Amino acid sequence: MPDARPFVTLRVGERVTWSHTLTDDDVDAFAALSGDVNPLHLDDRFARQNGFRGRVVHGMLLGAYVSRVLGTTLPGPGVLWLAQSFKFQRAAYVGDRIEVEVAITHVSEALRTLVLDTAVRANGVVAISGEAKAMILQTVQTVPWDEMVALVTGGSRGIGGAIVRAFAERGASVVVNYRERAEPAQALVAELRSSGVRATAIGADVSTAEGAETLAREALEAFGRVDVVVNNATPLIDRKPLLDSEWDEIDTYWRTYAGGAFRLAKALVPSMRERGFGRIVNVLTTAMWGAPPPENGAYVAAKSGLWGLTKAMAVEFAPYGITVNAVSPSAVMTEQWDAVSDNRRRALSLRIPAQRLAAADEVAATVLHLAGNDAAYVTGANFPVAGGEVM
Amino acid sequence: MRDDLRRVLADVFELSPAEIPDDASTETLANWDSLRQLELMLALELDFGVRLDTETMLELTSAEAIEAYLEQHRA
Repeated sequence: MPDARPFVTLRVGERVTWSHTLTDDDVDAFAALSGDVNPLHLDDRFARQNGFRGRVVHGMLLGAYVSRVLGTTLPGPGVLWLAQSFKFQRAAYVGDRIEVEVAITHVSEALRTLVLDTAVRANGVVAISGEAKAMILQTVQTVPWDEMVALVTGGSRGIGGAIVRAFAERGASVVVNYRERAEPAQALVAELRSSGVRATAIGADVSTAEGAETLAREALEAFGRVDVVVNNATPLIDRKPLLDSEWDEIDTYWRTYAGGAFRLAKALVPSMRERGFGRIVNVLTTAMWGAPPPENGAYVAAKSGLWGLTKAMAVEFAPYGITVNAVSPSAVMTEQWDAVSDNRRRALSLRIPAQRLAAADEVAATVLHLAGNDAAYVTGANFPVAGGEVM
Repeated sequence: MRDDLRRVLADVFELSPAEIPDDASTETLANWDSLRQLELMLALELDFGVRLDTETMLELTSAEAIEAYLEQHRA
């Protein structure tokens, strides 16, 4: 059985033809199934006596072949045949070569419904013709882990690195994006490749249009598709009072978080739509839940902007099988915490109900869940991975 | 009600145009069910050249509402 096609891929003008030579067995089987044992269809002599060339094939058998094409080819599996008109124009006979032609003449996106011209020709002459109306039911597309391609921005270290490793462990192909420091990304890719993972590192600054577009293009060139985008890249977080900041500094966060996520979506969502499957996961922060910590205004505002974008994308992309979600980690044990004293880390962890900091692979596990087939109905959600710090 | 809309309603609900009441709606026409609604919306797109969205489709549940919509949006 062929896969159901995403509705968005069905276009006016698309047509298919299916050919078949009519046999005695076809007609006998249809008579047995329908109970239409009219001698016109079963008795060759009777048909000839009434001026026909031989036993006449049931008109509705030809209609059934239209059903076959609608249900298997165009629009294909998942179609709900709402209405059909048929005009019977000439008889078809056993031995005739028929061609069933179906063509889309109208697409109603709001109704998920198509209007199609349908015709069956027998030996090149139209035997029946008419118009079909058909709704396309929503189907859930799935992608096995070992066929999945995941792109992780800021993917060489820290939370991003853990997310890359988690995808790789499931057998997915991974695109490791980095901005400046190639060495950690190349080292991670080399390690993953040595264990049989398809991986590539792409240097690009997603805060610029050129960088985001280059990343998307090179990822598609490397693997032919991207199923998952994890927007994790961040500029260096510089804590300072808002009034001590210049807008250009604040804008750097916006361009990286919201700008990067938007531009990658613009470049990659069209091909996700065509496949009816896509996952976008944005890495946010618990700092944007409730009252934010002081001197983090630029960071918190831009992450909050990305959350707004997450919800807007979730609504717009949901009809196409594309989910958009977020994870909000609290303090995560990554390299950046190495410089923090043990006492301060301990004090911080005691503020968290779970009494410990998060491990990067715990954040990655939530991202993996949201990227997987089991989370097809989860979209527009923001999951704290925070040990109870925010709720 | 305008004649072209009355004709479309009559086609969809399998009635004669004279049988379509001026206050035709999901409340007054017994066979204006969800399937007929879908057929009706498709007929509006095909016959009047409008492009409906889902929100609009949910609101067009009376001849009066459809007429008002067509006045504003007909190509």
